[in-house]
Amino acid sequence: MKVFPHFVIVGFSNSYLIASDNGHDHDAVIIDPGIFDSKLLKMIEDNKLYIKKILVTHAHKAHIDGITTLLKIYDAKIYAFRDKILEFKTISVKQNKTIECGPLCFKVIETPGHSRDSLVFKIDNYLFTGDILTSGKIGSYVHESARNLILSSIREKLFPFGDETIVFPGHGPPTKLGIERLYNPALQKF
Amino acid sequence: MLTFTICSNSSCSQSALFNNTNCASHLKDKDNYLEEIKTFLNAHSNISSINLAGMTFSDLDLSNKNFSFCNFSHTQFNNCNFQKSKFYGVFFDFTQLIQCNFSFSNIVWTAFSGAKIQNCQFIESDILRCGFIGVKAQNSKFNNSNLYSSRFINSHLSHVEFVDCNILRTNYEHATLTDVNFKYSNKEEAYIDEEIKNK
Repeated sequence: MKVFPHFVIVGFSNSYLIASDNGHDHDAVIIDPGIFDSKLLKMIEDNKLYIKKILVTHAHKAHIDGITTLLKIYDAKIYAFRDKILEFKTISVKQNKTIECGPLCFKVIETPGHSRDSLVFKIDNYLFTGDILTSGKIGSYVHESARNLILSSIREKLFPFGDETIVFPGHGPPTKLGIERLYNPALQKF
Repeated sequence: MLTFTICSNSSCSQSALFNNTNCASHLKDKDNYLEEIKTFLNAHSNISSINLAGMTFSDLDLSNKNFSFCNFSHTQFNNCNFQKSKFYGVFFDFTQLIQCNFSFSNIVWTAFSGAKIQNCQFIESDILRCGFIGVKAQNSKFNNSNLYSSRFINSHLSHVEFVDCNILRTNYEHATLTDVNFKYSNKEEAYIDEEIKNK
């Protein structure tokens, strides 16, 4: 598997282009296209990839704004918790659903709290956490109950994957579950 | 990308080292492996997707290298020279960096979280969107560097200099700062707990 992170300057978010490294599967997945700019297009084209699936961790602007342009170029399907994103119909996915693209297989983990539609996608030893868990922080929340939902999602659904699991977040630097368990101020109280 | 092959020792869940079937704890002939790796590092300028977690390196010249998606987790680097090197998606988490020089480097989207950083130099470097959460840094200098959007959340910094740095969106929340010098840096554009900001 190859992962190409892409920094979205509008909204300071991270998009991820993911493809197989077997040399003959050219279908690719993009997670959270917060922007679709020439740099991202070049990354796709230079690697001879074609975007088949768009995975959305949650439908906040910084994570979906590139979808409209992307769909003008690629005939891709959107996978999200919601059944509609912007003006596009999606394939709504829920807990434990798997999303396949060639040899790539993503597992869907529902992690509400930051937003009702927050999802984490897991593939191999990697978690794409959107805003629910970033390096040193948890997602923002409106009510204390939403905070508790975020914390219980992380504790019960993510931490069991183990300390060495790599976290590719929706914002900021990469991290690992072990780092967050020890040093994330919001999680230290567990 | 970082790929993970589990250590061949049946009771172990750690990842195997680069070009080896075992992790650092179950490595057979450690000295020989260390020499092989040193030769490899010397011979290549582009170093990608290698796992050297848990190894110890001393007195290495790793300047002018291009590191991407490497795992140096729990590794120890003593007196190593990383000047003018590039890093992207590299994990230095829980690493011990002692008397290392990262000056004039380009370090992007790299995790130093949980690391122990002692007597190190990160001068005149771009250190963009990097994770330093929980680091324990002592007697180290980041002077004249661009630390845009890097995170020092929950870190312990003692006698650390950030003189004339760009710290726009750099996050020092929940950090313990002792004798930390932000002279000429744009502290007002960083995320720093109020009681520290006003010092």
